[in-house]
Amino acid sequence: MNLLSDVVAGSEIVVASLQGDSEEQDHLRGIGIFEGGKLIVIRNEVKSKRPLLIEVFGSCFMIEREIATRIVVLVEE
Amino acid sequence: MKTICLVGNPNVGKTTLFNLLTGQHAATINASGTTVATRSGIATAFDKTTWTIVDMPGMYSKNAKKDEEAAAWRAIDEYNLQGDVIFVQIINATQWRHSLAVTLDLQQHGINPILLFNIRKDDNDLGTALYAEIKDKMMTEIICGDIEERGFAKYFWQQIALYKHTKPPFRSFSTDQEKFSFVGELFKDIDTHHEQREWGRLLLDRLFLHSLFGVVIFFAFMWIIFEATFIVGALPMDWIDSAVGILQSFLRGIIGDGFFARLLVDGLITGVGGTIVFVPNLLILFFFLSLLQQSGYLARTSYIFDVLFKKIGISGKASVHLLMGFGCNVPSIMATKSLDNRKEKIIVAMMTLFMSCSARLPVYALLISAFIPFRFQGITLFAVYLFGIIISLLTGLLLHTTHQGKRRGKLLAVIPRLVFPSFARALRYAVFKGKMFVVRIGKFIVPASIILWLLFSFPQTAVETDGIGASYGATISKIIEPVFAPLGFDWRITAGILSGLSAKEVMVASFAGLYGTSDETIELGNAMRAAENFSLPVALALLVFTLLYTPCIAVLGAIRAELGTRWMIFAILYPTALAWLAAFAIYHFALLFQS
Repeated sequence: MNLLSDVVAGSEIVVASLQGDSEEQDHLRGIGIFEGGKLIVIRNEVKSKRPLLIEVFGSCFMIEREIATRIVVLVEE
Repeated sequence: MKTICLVGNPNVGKTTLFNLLTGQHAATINASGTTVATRSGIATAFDKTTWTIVDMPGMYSKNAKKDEEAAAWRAIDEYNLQGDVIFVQIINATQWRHSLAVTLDLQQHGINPILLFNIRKDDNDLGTALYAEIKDKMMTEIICGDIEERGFAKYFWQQIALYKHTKPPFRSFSTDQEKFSFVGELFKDIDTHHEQREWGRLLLDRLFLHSLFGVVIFFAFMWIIFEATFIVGALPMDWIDSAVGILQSFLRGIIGDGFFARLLVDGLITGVGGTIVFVPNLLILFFFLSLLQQSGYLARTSYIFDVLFKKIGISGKASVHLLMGFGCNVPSIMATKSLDNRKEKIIVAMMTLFMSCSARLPVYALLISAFIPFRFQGITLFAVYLFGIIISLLTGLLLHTTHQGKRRGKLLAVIPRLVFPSFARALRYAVFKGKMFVVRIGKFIVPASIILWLLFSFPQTAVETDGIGASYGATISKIIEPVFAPLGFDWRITAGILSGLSAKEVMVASFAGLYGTSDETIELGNAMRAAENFSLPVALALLVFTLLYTPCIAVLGAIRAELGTRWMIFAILYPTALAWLAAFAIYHFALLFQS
């Protein structure tokens, strides 16, 4: 288990759980980030404070690092 | 009257289609969150039937809690109850899987939308076979085409005429997860990941989004735009200026020197001609801004500036709102509706005041071309805009530290794919913006020129004997002049500043009337340079004052509508005080060098 914010670019991952408040969770699920859903990390400067770029259902999203710390993921081999 | 509702994810082209069908000019930009409220307009189809077209804010899910998304779903429910409504869901073909989740939401509500795939030829076309598969599996009608291509409106109306309403398939989903999984399962054999991984785009994105190079590239783009504004714009400006002079001489020759002749030549044509000279500069600015926004670059500024903006309590997505302000502050302030909390809305709206709008550009162009050597004109304009950005950031920091409120908004936004921009589209956009500016000239400059000429030509006997300084307008300006005297501004400049309260470009018409001579061969810039009290320090102080002082009436109205009267008063007092202090400092600093 990892936090999305710690996953290196290029990784294909599966969302294990969402840990933010219910409003944030609803918003994430609405754009396709839900438990069991797959994502690809396109860009992540792990040691910086910059946002991440992730691919969700073929669309590229910018996601704030703080939100990414509340998304628990499994990295696919 | 039948209705067409345009729905879909954010930033797929709904407003572009709305403008195309209705002839309206709602703001569009290649980034999420530009449309924040439902709007409607009337359109006439090619068979002469009239339709109401409704443009909805972008949305992702029925379960969304964001204000504009929830408002869009409420409006969809209301229109659906009316009957005689066709829902057209616009889909960006590069993000089609995502969009189909919204299709499922609509179908669950008893709505079977027509899916309009917005395609740029040879760029994101999914291919006929896949469209057929989507049509078959989603059990709905499909239209494919490039919304911005010439002739699309006709093609759209032909497809609407052929449309036969069908009931949506019965599908029930209790969660977003089920919906996305259903779409994933339906199209599991189709790989779309390659779209995000093309090496050319990835390489460009590495550069554009780099923590250091990204910022350098952003400012390099800005510098190129402002440099081009003067270098490319110089020649057509001269042509227009000469043409206005020839027209004035010609009219003076045939209609004489009576009251109406002077009103027409010295009032109207001097005012309008003095402003219209700067249309080429505006065309160049909008041409380049269009290239940047079409390419998807502007949306990337959210990423570039997120870390910096965190320090002033706002998220990176505010960068798109702020950059929209370079065109006009009004849509930029209206779009703050899409931001997450009131504190962020206030900060961004107040920061927008210092993002120099296009109406101020003619004033800068006039002053810079009159007082700055040609080789430094582009860099001076760049410096003016950069100074505005710095003041904007400091204002954000000030409000963040002094204003209590919820934590900053969260950055979670779709980022469009980088595409090579179309020069033809950029040219069309620039010409359209140029036309809008000419319309504004008709709306503001024509009446302002007449009023100003009357104010500064009467009482006639006193003006004829003692000059313009004895006019009613001069008397009024001289009462206020002491306030601006420490900045080096005389009553003429004071009059120009006051006239700019209605709309900033009116300042140029005022200066044309106040400094213009009866000799058409002397251009306005030269006349200002030759005027007593109008030196380089005064010009620099006036440049900064114009950049910073209170926005026009339309912007104040937008602030009142979005944030209330208290913030509207703040938007009058704070920028004016700041403008006075900055102009004072620059004037006296420049005087040191001059002496």
